[in-house]
Amino acid sequence: MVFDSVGLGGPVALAAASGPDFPTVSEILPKPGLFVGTPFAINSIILIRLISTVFIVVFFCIVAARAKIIPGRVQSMVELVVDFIRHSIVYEFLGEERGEKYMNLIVTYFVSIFLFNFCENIPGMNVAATTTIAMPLVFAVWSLISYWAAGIRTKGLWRFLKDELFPAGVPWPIYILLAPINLLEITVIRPFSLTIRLFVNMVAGYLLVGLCFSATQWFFFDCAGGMKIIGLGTLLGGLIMTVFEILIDALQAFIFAVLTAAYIMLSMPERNEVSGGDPVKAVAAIEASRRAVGNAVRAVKATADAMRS
Amino acid sequence: MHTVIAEDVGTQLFFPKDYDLIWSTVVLIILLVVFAKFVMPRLNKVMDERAKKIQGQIAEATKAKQEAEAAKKKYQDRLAQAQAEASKIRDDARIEASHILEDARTRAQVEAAAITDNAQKAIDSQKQQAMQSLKKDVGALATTLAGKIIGTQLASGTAQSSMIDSLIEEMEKENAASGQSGNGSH
Repeated sequence: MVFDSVGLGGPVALAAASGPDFPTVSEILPKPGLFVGTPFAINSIILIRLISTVFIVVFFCIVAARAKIIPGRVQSMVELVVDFIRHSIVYEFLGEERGEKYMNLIVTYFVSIFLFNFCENIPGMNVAATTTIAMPLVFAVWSLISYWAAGIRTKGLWRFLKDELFPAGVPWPIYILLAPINLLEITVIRPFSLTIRLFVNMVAGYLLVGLCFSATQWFFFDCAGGMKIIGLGTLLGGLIMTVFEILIDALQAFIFAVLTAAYIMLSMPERNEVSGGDPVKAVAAIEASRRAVGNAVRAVKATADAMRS
Repeated sequence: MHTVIAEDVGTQLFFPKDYDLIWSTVVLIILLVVFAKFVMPRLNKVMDERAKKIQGQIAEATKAKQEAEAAKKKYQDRLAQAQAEASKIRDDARIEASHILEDARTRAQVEAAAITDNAQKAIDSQKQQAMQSLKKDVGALATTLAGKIIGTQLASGTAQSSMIDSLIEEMEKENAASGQSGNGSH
């Protein structure tokens, strides 16, 4: 085998005697199998990522190229997602006028992160394309660049930094404490919280589902008699976890997209340029998040209803 | 042994590999470019076109509705106008009819009065004639009668006739006085 195995295709026979072949974190650090030793080395997770990228590019290009005024089923679905992002995330945070410019970014983020995450539910892949820290990190760094660029473009570098580090309405001694914290916030904490949140969720999902199914395998094939029944429980657990993971995949993509939109909003001047500055804007951001989450919950409910009927 | 390896690997998880970073960057750039340059513009264009079309149709429908409403209002106005006119014509006709009736009645009355008048006049003149001839006849008759009764003829014709005339006039006067009081009671 060229690639290290990821998922459950591993050396089952070896584990048979001792116990279940539980997934370990080392499986998420597969060794490269192609171009080994070059900067373009490819391991199994990168391969999964490349395959899903090709899929996303081909699928969306076909849908876009064939897009008609009277949409087909697939086009309607894609438009539903785009409209959801437009109205529930982008317009909610940035307003219609300024939001339109960031539609491309947020749609790319939501769609890519969701489909990358979703790979963990596809048999044969079994691991999300975002399960190495590099991918979430690159997404987060681009979102960092985006909100810095948004701030600098709309306010200029000095006003952007002044607003971020020395928010109005705070007594000056506090700035000694606040300025470094805010600097850390806009340079390190934001991108890393984005990265870690997504990455760790995917790792945990991989381990949880793997745990359930490897235990099922062990109970069914390596245990005697009554123990096999326990396997039914772990199988059910694995199925429930898979459904749960699909939800997590969408949720993480949503959170990533929402936070990127929120950070861009926080970098820009007040939408209606009233007084206030940071506290007012923070409240607005919280309000917008609340509405975005409300919209998402409604969308999930509507989808569930549509599926049921 | 196992746990030590796991811990070691665990920290490794958080240090990205250079090739992983490179591929992640390549993938993100490809996705961003494809979405920004092709997918989103195409989808936006189609969605905008659709929105425009729907808006156009809504505007058209609104216009059609307004036109229909205007036509309906016009029709109703005309109808009301026609009804008003009809009732006016009816009223006019009624008034005219009553005028005509009134005229006819007055004319009839006038005619009737005229007829009555004429009749009265004819009667009067006939009465006059009758009186005249009666005067003559009665004079002669009375004279003859008186002559016969008295047996003598009055010497002068003139004296004879004047005496008779005054006699008749006296009778006439008496007659007229009683006739007038009689007419008045009628």
